[in-house]
Formats: sequence, C-alpha cells, structure tokens
Amino acid sequence: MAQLIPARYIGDYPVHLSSEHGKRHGARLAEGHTTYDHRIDGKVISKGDIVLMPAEDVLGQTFWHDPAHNQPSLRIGVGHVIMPQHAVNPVANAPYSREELQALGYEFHMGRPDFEPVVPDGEAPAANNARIGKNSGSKASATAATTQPAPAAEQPQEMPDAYVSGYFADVEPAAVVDAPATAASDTATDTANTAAASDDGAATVKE
Amino acid sequence: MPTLIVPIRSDRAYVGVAKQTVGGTPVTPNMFPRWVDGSALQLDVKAEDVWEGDGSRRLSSIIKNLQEVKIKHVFMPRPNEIGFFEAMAMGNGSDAYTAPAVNTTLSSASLANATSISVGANTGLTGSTNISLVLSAGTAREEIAVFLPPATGAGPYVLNVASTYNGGKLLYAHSSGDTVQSASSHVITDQTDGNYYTYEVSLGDTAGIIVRVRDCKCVSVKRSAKAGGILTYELELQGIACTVQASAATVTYDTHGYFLYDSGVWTLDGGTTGYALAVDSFDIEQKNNPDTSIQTESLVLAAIIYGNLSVDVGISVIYLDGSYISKVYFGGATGTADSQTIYQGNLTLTFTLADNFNSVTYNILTLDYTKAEPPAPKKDGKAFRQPLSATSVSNFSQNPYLLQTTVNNTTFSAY
Repeated sequence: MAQLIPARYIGDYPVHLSSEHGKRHGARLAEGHTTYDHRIDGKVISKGDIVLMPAEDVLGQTFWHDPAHNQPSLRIGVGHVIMPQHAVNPVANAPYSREELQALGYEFHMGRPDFEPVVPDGEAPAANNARIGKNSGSKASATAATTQPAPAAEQPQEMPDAYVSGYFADVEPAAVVDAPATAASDTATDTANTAAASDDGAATVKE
Repeated sequence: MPTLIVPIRSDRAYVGVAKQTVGGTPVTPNMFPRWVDGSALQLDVKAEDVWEGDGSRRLSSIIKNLQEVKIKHVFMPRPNEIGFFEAMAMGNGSDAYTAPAVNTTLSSASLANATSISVGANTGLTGSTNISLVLSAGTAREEIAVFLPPATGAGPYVLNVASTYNGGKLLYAHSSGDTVQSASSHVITDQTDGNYYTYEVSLGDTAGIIVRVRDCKCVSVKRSAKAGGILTYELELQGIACTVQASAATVTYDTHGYFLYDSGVWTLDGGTTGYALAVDSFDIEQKNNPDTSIQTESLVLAAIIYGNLSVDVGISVIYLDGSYISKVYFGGATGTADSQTIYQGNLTLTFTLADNFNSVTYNILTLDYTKAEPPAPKKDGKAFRQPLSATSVSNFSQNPYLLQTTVNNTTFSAY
C-alpha cells in the first residue's frame, strides 16, 4: 500500500478529482475542513485544497536500472535517493553529479508540479520551494504559504487503518538511503521491497 | 466448485501527461484528458532470429534489437488542455504568453446576486463593449462572468455585470482581494524541436498494469471536427522507456467543457461568406516526422528529434459551384484549361466556449491547394459534397510559421 502524505493543490485552475480510480481523502477549503479524513474524490478541488496522495506522486521517486541490463531494475524509494555504494565517487572523492548518477543507472522521477507537500508548522519552507523549483512549471509556494489553511498544521484525528499519516521529510537529491538488496550482491529475497521494472518492459514493482 | 476469473473492464483506464524539464527525468502526470476510443499504448519489439550451426535445422534463439513505445491519444480537449498539447506538438518555446489585459483585484467582497463589483484598477476596463472576466481564478469561487465597461469612479472603480449574464447578477460570492482577470493569451507557433513529455497509461489500475513512459515526443497531431460534433485531437507519440508504477495516479480533470463545432467562425481564403459557411468537416494534421532511429548502447532509443514539419488541411464542403475546381486545376476562378498555377488560400478558424472567455484560433497564412475533387453524381439526389486538400507552406520563407494556434484561457503562465 502506497504511503500517503498531505499535498496542497497549487494549480492555476480548479480540477475535478476523479472518483473512478480509488478513494481519495483530504481537506477542501470550500467545506471548511480541519482534518484530512474527508472523502473528496468526485469533487472539485481548487488552489489551497489538500489531498492525501501517494508520497511518490508529490516527492517523486527513484528507480535504478542496471546499465549492463543484467540485473533486474529496482525501485529505490520515494524522493531522489541513491544507494550507499554510490554515495561518493572514489575517483574524484566527491559526490557523483546528477549526470554521473544517471549514467550509473539512476532514473529520478519528479513529483507533480501542481501539488506541493504540506509543511508542518515550524519547518522552513525553503527546501520545499527548492524542490518545487525543480518540478518546473509549478508556482512558488509563497502564495500558498500566505494562504495556508489552518488544517495544514493539524494531523488527522481518526484515520482509516490503511493510511499512514505524517509528513515525509524532504530529501535532497542524492541523499543516501539503505537501498534494497541488489540481485548481484544478495540473492536472498527482499520481502519488503521486491521489484522488477526494467527498460525491457517487464512488469511489476511492488512495495 | 469452479473458480471464477476476475476480468477487468476495458474502460478502467486513464491517460496522464506531464511536461519534463529535461530529457531522462520523468515527471508524475498532472494532466489527464478524458480519453476516447482509439487511444492505445503500443509496445513494439524489433527482434532478430539467431541461427547457429549446430547440425540441426532449428532456430537457436531470438534476441531483442530494439524496444520502443508508441502512444495514440484521442480526446476532446478542454481550454487549459488544448494549450498544453498545442505547445507539445509545436515545440520548445512555442508559447508566446501574454498576461491578461485586465488584471486587478476586488476592493471589497461581493455577494451572490450582486449586480456590480468594486475593483482596484480600471486598466482594460475603459471601453464600452461587454467583456468576459474570471473572478477568483483558481479558487472554489471561480466564476467567469460578463461585465459592461466602463468601470466608473476614481478608484476603487465600480464595474457593472452585463444584463446578458445571468440576468445581470453574479452567481457566486467573492472575497475581497480575489483576482479579477481577462483571459490569458497563448500564441503558439511551430519551432525547431520539441520538449520531452512523460505519459502514464493505466490499463486496469493496480489490478492490471500502469505504465509510465518517459521522454515522449509528438509524432503527429490531427485536429478535427464535423458538423454537430466536438473538436477532437488525435495525438501520436513516440516514447523511449517504461517503468511500471505501483499505485494509480491521483487523476484530475479540467472542469471546463469542450469546443463545439457549431461555435466555429471561419475565414476561408480571405472570405467569411460563400464556402466559409459551407464547411461540414475539417482536419488540420501536423506531422513532425521525428527521427526515431537514434539507438546507441541500450535496448531503447537514446534520443528523439523532430524532422521536417508538414501541416496538411482537409476540408469537406457542400458543393456550391465549380470555383474550386477551376482555381485548383485551371488557374483561377474563370480558368478554362489545365494550368501550372497553384491556387493559394488561407485559413482562420476560431472556436469559443459558451462563456465567451475560453477560445482557440487556428491561423494558416498560405494554403497551397493540391486537390479539389469533383464530386460524384448520385441518384439519391442528396447535396453534392466536395473534399478539398491543401498544405500550409512558408511561401518562400515569407511566413514565420506554418500554423499558429492562439489559446485564450485561465492558465496564467507559459506552457
């Protein structure tokens, strides 16, 4: 089950949230919501409304594809992250550049440009702005920050059991995470994150 | 006890798109035009038989040479979508965006059924012709209403609601400080190459498969409509590589309506009468002819670039006289014999939503007519119909574009 985070809609024009592709919960300014546990799929959302969305839709995600096409592809995680073995370029003794990481097989996916993650009170919005700047085409969050509704600071009071509430901290590009075991280094099955999405069009990535 | 299978409905699908800022970095889709029949995801494998001498007559194996992705996307675009897809087809930097001429705010709140609003500035509101403005754009209170300038006063200014709109009253309440804007203008023309886009196609959501295709470019787009119908786009795209998604996207739709054929206003070959009133269907087909053969060290393509551009127009008219036959084949309206002369025309076609705010205009400066097929006589006695074919040309480099699309909508930044 995808982990959900609250995300604020910052698009130019109202949009209709489809009711045909799964339940969606969130908070609509028009209805004065103060928590995120309201069903809002099938409704029109406008600037400032908050939707609980899969984290990867908002923060992006990272895949790794073996440049030699021998190992199966992996979904590394939410945001732009790299595996520990690629934290430092041993030749330059410095972090790899983005282009070098892409040559190593990393594929960084950006989040939606018309949503921004909701920043809890007390957190600096600068990192958010920087990320939004990378998601080119989205508006800066300055306006959103000044019109941030009160519900943004509150956690849902009662959430359906399947949801995980909370805020996922921004990760800078090339943040190092504990990566799932690769096929070359670990033949044991990783039950937490078995994956196989390759450039060859093979199927399924599951979490 | 038999075990039942669990089929998946063929309409349990979505198509999502987003513009990439750079090649190789996909973007989560944020635009989901409502697809119609004819849309498809096509994964193609070019494979090679490997024959090895092992003493048998048997094929040894097969290898993949190339795997590529093609997408056909058919939909009826909304005003904010149409600008996005025009910019996709036309290329990088194609949108010459102009901010709204009227761009002010409400000086005080207005209630539902209000007959006027109070605005902070009267720029663009000094005329005397009805003007459509969007109030509270982007918010839950967004309303496109018609007003009658001039705005009066010394600031703030009072602007009256036109009597032709909702009996002269606003539908919704609006807050002080909410924006008051005219339509933004996007003038989109063909460029040298296109941006990369990410497409995501769901076939059954998580019960089926959700494929995200990175680095897609527009191969061709056909804009068409027929009498009594709806403006429809058929896009064909080539993508580079796929990843399978673990969860369905949050699908969001533009809330506006589509463009109806009967809202079209035609200027055909410089005229607004005659055949300009006799068009029962049309299509404008743009082909970017991209180079899809750039493959280096991977199973998938390494890049896609645009090739030569062609813009062809097909028009079906109700036959009124033999003038097009004379012009295209015999050198002119009064021509009498085969002629070398190419008949040149032009086209301006505008579709507008009922709100008189959102619109799209196609403009072709020079159309070289290549065909004006004589209609076939039929015993049923129904009206002759005549197909015309023409191609947009630069006219020896005099024209700065082959096709210009102007979109007025509520997207307040360049595509």
